[in-house]
Amino acid sequence: MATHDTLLNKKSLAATANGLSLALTVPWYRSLWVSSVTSINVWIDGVEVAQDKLSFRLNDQSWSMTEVPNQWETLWFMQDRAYVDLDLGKPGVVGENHEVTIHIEMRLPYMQIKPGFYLPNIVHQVVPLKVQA
Amino acid sequence: MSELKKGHLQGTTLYSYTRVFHQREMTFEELIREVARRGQGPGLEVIGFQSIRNFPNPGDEFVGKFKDLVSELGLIPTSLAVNADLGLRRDRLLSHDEMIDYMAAQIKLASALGFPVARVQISMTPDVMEALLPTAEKYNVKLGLEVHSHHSPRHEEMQAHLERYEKLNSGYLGFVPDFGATTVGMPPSLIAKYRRTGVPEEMITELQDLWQVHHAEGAPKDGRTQGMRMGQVAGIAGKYGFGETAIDYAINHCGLFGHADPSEWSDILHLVWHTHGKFFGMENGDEPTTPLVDILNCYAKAGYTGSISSEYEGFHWDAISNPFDQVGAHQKRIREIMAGYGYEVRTTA
Repeated sequence: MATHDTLLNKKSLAATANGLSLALTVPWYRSLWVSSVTSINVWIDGVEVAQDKLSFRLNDQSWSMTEVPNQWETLWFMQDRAYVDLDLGKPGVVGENHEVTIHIEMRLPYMQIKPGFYLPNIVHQVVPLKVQA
Repeated sequence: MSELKKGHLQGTTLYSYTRVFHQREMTFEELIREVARRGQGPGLEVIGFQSIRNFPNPGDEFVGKFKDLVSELGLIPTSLAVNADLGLRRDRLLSHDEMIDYMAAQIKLASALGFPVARVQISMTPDVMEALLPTAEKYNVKLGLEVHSHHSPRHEEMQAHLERYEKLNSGYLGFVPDFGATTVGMPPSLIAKYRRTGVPEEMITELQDLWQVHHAEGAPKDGRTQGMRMGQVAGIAGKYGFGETAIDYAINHCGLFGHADPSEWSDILHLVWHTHGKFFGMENGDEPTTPLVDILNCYAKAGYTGSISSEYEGFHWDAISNPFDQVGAHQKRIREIMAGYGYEVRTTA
């Protein structure tokens, strides 16, 4: 179901001053509130990046992963890209190739199947990406 | 040949072209211009939370530009799809009053943009629908509850809505049928995708056999049956080592390709102003999954003059087919069938 393959594209991985960032397209057919994101896990070349080294950035705002589920006033628009910033303790190197694994779990706030349980939208992708400038 | 009667309004929904928008190949305006250029209107349906930035408060400039654009292109806004995000907060559900306000803002925008119908979904109870009636009347926007697979007109929840709408007899509360509730099989394009991605032939056979078992039993009339069926599909996926994505198989299998008989649409067409002509992929000029001849027979018998959006959904698993070509072929097939029933589909404003 859904356009899961749209989450990442070939240009999604970019270098930052202290690591890498991943540009994400909302993997659903409509915009969703940031609070719809339940969790994100990222592995670079098979090594998981610790949760406290991840942050979620959208339109000049940035949140730790623990804060993300509480952002119910900010909409992740279909044509906007959200960024997962990875603090790897050293600058990213443009042109390097990495195997990126991303696991994102969302819940669809308008599809309550039974009280307190929402239809989940889970995307798991493993893709080789070249670091962009 | 006798003269054809004026039939329903042809149209499309921008949902059909979701991939194009997702990938930023076209802007909102470019999509609408392409719809007009290809003659896939005049009916134009938009999903608020898909197409409109800062929905439902995009600002006066956006509203003015949209109205000018559809006027320039000879398009007719048909339905604005709105959403009831009951669970947008993590700590609690929205209260009744908060939900009314949340929906009212979207209905108000539908009115400002010139949409005569706002499509709502099954998370709305009959009580919430009744509570929204003054808002619908105030803004002169009809509310259409989508009847989407796995539901069908005779599902107990839809029956509760039908009873309430008939009792209120307001002219503002009705339904939006989705042809995916009345299918005759799993789409060939989805089976092809399963094969391409390495799903074993035995598993495909089991899935298709199970679909036929459910079809013989008919559409589920309650939530318990639906839950049990989803569990059966997930069980097959798990048995073949696809446990992690079992929920996706279950959602596809039980949530998209409904089992109701097309004749059920006749129960509710007196309360329908807009329709989702859901389809999953045209093959050789016909749609193998949604039986258009049988479905449209109900529409012809009812003398339906509302709008039908051709709603292509195969893009979920088919990234190759051109959605504009798909919609064009679907609309052509519908025009042929309706002409056979004595109706000329309206294709101009």
